[in-house]
Amino acid sequence: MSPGLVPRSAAPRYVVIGAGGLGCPALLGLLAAGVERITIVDDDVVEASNLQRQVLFSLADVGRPKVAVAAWALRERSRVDRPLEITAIRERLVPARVDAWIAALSRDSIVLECSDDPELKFAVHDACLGQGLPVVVGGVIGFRGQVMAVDPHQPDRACFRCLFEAPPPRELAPACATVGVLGAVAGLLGQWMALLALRLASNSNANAAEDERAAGTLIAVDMLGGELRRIAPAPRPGCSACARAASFRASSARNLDESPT
Amino acid sequence: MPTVRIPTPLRKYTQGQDQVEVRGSVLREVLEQLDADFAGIGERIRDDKGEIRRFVNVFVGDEDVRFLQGLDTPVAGNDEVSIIPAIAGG
Repeated sequence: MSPGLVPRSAAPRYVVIGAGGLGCPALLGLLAAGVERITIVDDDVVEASNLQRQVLFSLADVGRPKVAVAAWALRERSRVDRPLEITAIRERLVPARVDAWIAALSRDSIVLECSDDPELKFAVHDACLGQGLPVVVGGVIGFRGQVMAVDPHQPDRACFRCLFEAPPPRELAPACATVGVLGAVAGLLGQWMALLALRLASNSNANAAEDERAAGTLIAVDMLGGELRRIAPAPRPGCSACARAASFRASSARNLDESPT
Repeated sequence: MPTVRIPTPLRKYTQGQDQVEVRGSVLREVLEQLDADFAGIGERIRDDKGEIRRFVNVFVGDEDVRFLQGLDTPVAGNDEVSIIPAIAGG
């Protein structure tokens, strides 16, 4: 862990939803930073066409569950003298079950939404805000991608739904397997998601100077031309996800007031 | 004339051009002219009521038009209009 990143919790749990083009490099980035607790969620098995970007897998893994292979690959790359707890969950998360699933996560979780399902991205994002959990949302296709860190404890920073009010219909949001993606672009964005998650975990995040705070800025890249754009709007009035975060903060404050002294 | 930056998935409507000059002094005019110049692009950006689609962001310069005057946002001759759709692949 680089100096200056002071963990908010002693050892947050990093929950990576999707062990694919974004999830694999994100997991490598987290491992390299020395994180101690990782949860990986995916129901899919490794296919040969994944290998150009899903960098935890090899040809020998084709047909095996991604979460099991990813967990093994991380262990193979970790130091035996450092604690590392990996939970592999082979499950297809669907939007209808996300609220309950996220509510069951430990309170020190930080979620990285690396799936290729537009509705799931929004559902996970909203559920995290409703539970007071920081979340990083990422998307990649072709040469382009977007990543955004969201912190429900920073109401002056925009959330993902402040920017995009609703998911695109599936026919306008193709998956990487259909349209294609450059492995290096997925690698860049997955590692970026890990960096954002680490910054969200840091105690210093909420007190950093305005232009250094990780949360609330969408980074949009187009690597065909090498363009990068930062979009950090004010929170959108009437945003339903921000409302869920506000409700969580209010209920947490009430619980603190009412707790026995 | 204002410039409109075209995101990659919409460049098939603009013969591959990543930016085009489009006449108009408010955003609504610029988008209408964009669709007139490059048929088919309009419905990717606006729904059938003419509103900007909820998974698309439109910027004039560095400002999201939802925080300005929406489709009535003035666009100056040297302004750049950017269209940023959500990306959901993983």
